[in-house]
Amino acid sequence: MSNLASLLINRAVTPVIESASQSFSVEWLLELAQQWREEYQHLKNKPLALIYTDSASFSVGLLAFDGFCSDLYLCSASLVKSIDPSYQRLSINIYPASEQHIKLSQEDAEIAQKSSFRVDHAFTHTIVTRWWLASSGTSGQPKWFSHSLASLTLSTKASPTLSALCWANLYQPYRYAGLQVLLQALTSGATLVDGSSEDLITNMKHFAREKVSALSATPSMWRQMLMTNQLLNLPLKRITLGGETVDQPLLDKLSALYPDASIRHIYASTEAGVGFVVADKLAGFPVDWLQQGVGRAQLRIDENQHLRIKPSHKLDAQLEALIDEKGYLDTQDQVQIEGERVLFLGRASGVINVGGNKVHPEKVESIILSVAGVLQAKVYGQANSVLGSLVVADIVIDSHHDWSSISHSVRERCKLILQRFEIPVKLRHIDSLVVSPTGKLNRSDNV
Amino acid sequence: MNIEQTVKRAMSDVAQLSDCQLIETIEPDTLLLQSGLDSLGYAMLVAQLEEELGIDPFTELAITVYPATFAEFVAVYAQGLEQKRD
Repeated sequence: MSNLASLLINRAVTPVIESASQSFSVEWLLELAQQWREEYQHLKNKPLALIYTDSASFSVGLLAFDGFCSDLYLCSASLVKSIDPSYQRLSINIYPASEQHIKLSQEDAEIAQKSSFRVDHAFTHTIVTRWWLASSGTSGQPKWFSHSLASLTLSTKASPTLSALCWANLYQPYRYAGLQVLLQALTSGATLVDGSSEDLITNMKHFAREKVSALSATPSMWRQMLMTNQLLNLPLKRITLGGETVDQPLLDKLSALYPDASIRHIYASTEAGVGFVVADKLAGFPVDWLQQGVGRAQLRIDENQHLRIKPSHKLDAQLEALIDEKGYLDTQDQVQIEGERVLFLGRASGVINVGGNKVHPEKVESIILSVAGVLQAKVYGQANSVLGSLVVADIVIDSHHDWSSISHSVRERCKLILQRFEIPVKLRHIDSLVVSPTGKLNRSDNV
Repeated sequence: MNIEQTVKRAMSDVAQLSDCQLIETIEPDTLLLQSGLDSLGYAMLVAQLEEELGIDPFTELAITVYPATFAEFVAVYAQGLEQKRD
């Protein structure tokens, strides 16, 4: 049975995590992890909410408590509010300025950095820890899905070429995509650079200085990077796209800029984990995979044109309702066969993907409907060449009310409650909405 | 109104709608990502210009280099409108 620490111990090439100001070898992070584990012995076989601070500190927590705690909930400061309050919460910060928890003197630190790594005995007690990752739920409350280290590292690979890479993480490492980048860098022995700034241009300059050669981002983030004029300063060898449908024009632009780079589209979700990887620089995936499968996963299209996938790893029990008798999970992604490719059309559930952020129409509709004078509301996505989709709302109002005052109130209410990407960019005043015999809004005409 | 003015006015409309603060003066060489609009703002700008001008050059043209400055952004729209007339 392996835990994360044991995967990294005694590697010929060990990874390094770089922040804007400091660099941490994995030997050093393992030393710290051992101390955290010793200090928190009472957490053995108990659940833990690990709160993200920075990649290096977060990695210390993962190394310390994978294989030791029963459950690891990967949290931000706000996500932790949805965790059972009886669970231990831990926010690790290994930077010298805030070393409240680290009991290392400067001298100890120097010795630890110089010494060859000898803490493997500390990681021998190992159980299979459930890793929990949050996905945004319909009601706006996060939903938690469990994974195992084995399923999370299914698509990570190690080789001399991969260990020479320098990754940058533009995602949050407590989310599925960000964790994938972190684990890929750690387990392949590569270097990882933290994207510490909110400002993309500052991050890009930092990445150029660090000679970042591998980058994973949503198609929307790639389009934004193309707009910075800085992208070509990065010596990219590995380009990864995920989180949204990947379109051919973007793949063509990236492969024209980096003809020798490996360009990979990862099809994955927080709920189900990695499904498959497409690396032929074409949108969609080869139709042959419906017969042959891909990697260890089997694929098929059901009668509703939804892609179904049967991964080799065990799926979270909460997904049971979406799994058929043969073990295929309904991905809720609508697809269509065009020639030799299977292309993605959008989400069957009506979930809108705004630059990689999921928007649940029902949540936005409920807020619009709470405004006095609104009779009906329908929220849907409108195709957009910058962010994939934008949120639009059709609204029916009581004829005794004035549209301009109602639309103003709707905007104000949305601004108060919703995140920016969830707020409809356009409110359309319409006379009536089509409702199905079951009383539901007809969403299919906007999918 | 010429294209440059149309784009500037649309930028200020979108900034207001999307709660962004545009910088005081937008020059031809102002970097788009430093003009005050964020990615959501740009997505809204492209959607609004499509309604006003009837084109979205980012889907209709084979753009090999994305515009980085305000002048380049305006030029993409000028080129798109020219192609539409032809």
